[in-house]
Amino acid sequence: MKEIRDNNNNIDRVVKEILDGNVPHNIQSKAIARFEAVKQRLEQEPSGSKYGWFRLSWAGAGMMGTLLGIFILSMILNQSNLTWAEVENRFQSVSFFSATAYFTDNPNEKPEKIEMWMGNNGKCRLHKEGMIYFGEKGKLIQAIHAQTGQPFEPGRQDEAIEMIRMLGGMENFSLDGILKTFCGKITLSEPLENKELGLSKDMTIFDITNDRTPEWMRIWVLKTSGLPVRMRHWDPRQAESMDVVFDYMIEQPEEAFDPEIYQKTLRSANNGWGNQVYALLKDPGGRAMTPQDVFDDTGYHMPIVKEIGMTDEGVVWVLSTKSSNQAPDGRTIEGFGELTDDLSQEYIFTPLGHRYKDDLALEYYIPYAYRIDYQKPKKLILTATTQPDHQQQVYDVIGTFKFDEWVESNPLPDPLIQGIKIDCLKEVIQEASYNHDWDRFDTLLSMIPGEPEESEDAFYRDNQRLDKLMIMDKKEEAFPLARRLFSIIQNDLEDWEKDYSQEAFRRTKLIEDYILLLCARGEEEEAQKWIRIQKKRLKALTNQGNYDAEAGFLSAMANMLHDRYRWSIDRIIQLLETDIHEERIKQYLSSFIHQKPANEQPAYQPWLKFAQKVFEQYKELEFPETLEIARIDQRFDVSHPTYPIAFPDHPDYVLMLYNGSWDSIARGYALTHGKDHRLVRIGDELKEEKIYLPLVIHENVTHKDRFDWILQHNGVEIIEKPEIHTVWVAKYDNRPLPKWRKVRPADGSHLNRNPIARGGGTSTSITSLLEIFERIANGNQWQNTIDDDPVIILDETGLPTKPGENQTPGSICITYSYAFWDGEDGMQLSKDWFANTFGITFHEEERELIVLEFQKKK
Amino acid sequence: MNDKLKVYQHYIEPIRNRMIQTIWRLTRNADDTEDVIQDALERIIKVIPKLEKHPNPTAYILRICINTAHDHLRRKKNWVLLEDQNPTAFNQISITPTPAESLVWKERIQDVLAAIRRLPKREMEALILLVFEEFTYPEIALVMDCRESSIRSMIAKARKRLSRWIGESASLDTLEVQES
Repeated sequence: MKEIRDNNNNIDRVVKEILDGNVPHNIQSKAIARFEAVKQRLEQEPSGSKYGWFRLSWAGAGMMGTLLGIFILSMILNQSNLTWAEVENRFQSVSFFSATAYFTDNPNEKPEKIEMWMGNNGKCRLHKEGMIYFGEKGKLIQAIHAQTGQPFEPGRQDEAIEMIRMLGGMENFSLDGILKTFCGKITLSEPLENKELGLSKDMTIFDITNDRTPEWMRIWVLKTSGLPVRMRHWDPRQAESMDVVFDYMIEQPEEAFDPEIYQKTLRSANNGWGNQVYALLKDPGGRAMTPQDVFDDTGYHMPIVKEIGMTDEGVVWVLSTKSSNQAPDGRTIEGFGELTDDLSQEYIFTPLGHRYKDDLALEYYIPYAYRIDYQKPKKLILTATTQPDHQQQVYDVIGTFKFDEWVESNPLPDPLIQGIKIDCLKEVIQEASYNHDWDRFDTLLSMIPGEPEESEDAFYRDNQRLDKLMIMDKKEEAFPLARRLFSIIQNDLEDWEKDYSQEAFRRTKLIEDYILLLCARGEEEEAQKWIRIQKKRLKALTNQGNYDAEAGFLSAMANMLHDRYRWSIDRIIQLLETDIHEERIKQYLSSFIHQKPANEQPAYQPWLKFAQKVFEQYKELEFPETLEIARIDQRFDVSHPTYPIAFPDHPDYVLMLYNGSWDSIARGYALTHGKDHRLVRIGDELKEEKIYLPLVIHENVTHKDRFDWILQHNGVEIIEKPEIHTVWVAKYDNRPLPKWRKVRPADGSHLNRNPIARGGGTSTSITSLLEIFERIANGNQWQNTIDDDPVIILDETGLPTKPGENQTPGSICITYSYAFWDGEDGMQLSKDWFANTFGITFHEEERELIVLEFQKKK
Repeated sequence: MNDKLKVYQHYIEPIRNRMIQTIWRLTRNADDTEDVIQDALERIIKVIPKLEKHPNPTAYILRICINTAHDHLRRKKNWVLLEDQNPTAFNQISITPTPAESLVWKERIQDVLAAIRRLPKREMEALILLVFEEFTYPEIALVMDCRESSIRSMIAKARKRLSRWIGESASLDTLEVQES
């Protein structure tokens, strides 16, 4: 015990003695200057009320400022040769009025907005950030979220409640009382007419100042009516401002102040933010108030549904008139574009043409659950969007219709475009393939009967199956199918000169797959035969004025041979009998064309030289059964890079150098043993030790066995230690995940810097996504171990981490693209993105973790 | 006088030098010290209502200073020790160190600071409040809003980590100044 205490004292003493010390004078004085500056700023801040003068709480309570402005206006009316009775009468004669306040405490930022509407009998309605508050005689009646239509309980500190209380007192308000409430002991000046600004004969402009701060307020009042139309508050110290605009109405519908009617209105057909927030309100001048009103005049509008029907299999068709909208970029959008239902089923949008007469558009919506797990809905939700055919791009929602009645109809109406035939089954098959939803894909394909030699549909079916096998890289299964399908088109291909622009061209994918499979089987001569034919055929097409189809084919083949089979550039050139460095081909190639193989790169020459010596040595030596340290006297200079090289005469053996610190060996050990590579610790006696092991390894020795051997060879053992650490536990709320190709990365444009990690692809499963996020949380470091106190994210989402038997990475992918930013704001953005997009949240918890401690055997 | 100014005069001004010392100790760099002070003051002003109600406002303010310094240092990738030309130990024995000795001393400070910077935030806060600010365990528990036993455990962990990271060689015993 004493020893522990001594150690504690020692470390405290070391830290204290080293870090203690007087602050250098120059730094002390600069630091004090910072304090003084802050103090000075505070001295200049207004006093009296909690934070301000005209405003009750300027920084966060614009509502109060607005309200106060209204009361002060009343005072001005009083001061402008109007009696108090006249002021009261004037307000009473104004049945309804509304005010909109825009305020900001930073001139570089967008202002905030608050709106209020006053009705009869002390009724009022407020809008703040999508929340609608209904009040009556100073009490809150109901608060409703405009988007969901759901009531909510405002917090005690909600400014809207206080504001309603104040507005409720409007019937009998006391000007003195109000001013005392808001202005504390500050004395306001009498409103003085600003004659320089009084340009209009019908308007009087007043300025008000106070005895403490440089803030001022200006009010524009109509002379004849005595009503204020505009008010501005300005604080010259921080250029804070508030502008309030007033409207007076003869009539505002009574139901606009009734929360029950408001809720009912939200439930009715046409939604959208504008319609939701301003439902039931009327513009005093009779102009459009809601988006629906605007649609009718200019810009986007909702198409009018002429007929909506559904087949027995759930395919919905929509015939709309007034269907065209013009996008700002000149595109014409016809019809709607999105459909879902009360069961949240997904539908595939298929446009079926447009007719100028009556501006008619026809659309089909095929349920993704078609013929498998489709359920008949009770309600359909049809949405008009500005980009119906590009689901990955940003688009706006024009508006939404909800239907609970439609025509039950078979068959589907004929498309408006002549000659088009839609096969709903094939549409869903394509979508399932796109989503890598292979179980659905297989089930749907099995619904197509027949033999490919006899039926076009059956050919389509087997071709789809071949595509899937190629994606899954199941060459053995794919080859017989490819050969069978290829034999069906083989004759056409051989006679390509008779009709080279027809069927064979549409089979390009099959031809490419077949050639790839031949290459994989080593049947390169046969592959070359078809490559030559295809080249000639495509060249003929190119000569006819098409794009360089031959270059397209050759580059596609080269990319696939490199990416899938790791063929060298020389080997690809030999097969294709074309130099792929030709610019017309090179422009379509992935980056491999620019990379030199390792053995041609200067950095690897020392390693190659060393390897040659080992190879020479082993011409006389017996190879080990598994692995051994290369029997060579010379030591390789580890400052040069290395890579595993196969022995030329014994390609089943490789020469590989393991070197560096035990950190990297420990991480490698953990990774190959299914352990967590972050939970490793290196014992003190190994910390300074460097590994140098040039190994001759048989290819059958697994990486796991290699690390076991390294540990044993060096007399190192692993102690498993349970330890408590803080971790971030990732949890998933089991909401249905969005389709991975439709998920958009977090939008960090407001952060004004580039993301430090951005990417995408079908391998972005929950595991890899969390790994990337963890790396960002650790300052973009991969190689932290437990003693670096890394952020450790534990995946308890329950989402699949590896593709199952009949799955591909796309089957478990949760997003196609992502972007992460560093910094606290970047982390928060990412956390919000996880929470809002997938329902994945992170909770800090203390957990017992097993740490692998690597130490010398005692 | 406005409320913020009152709070400033009552709580912040009396411990101004202590705040500077706390921040300087962790940054050892003039620019960083200034920046952290500015950030810390902004943070403190934002939590004035909380500060007024806090049972130990001094500890609360110093915790914000430590916290801000920690965040600042973690954000900095290339952290450079620019000042501290005259380390305390040399000051105390009133001799001028040789350039080599000065360098060794600077490296030692770098090591200790780097180790402290690597500590988890809460562990570092607890340790600094205990070792430098000399608050008791119950006081630290109060300001960090957790149980006293948790503070003890955090400090034990922090000490263990520091021992490992700094190593025994960090002891001042290894830095004996030879008079030439």
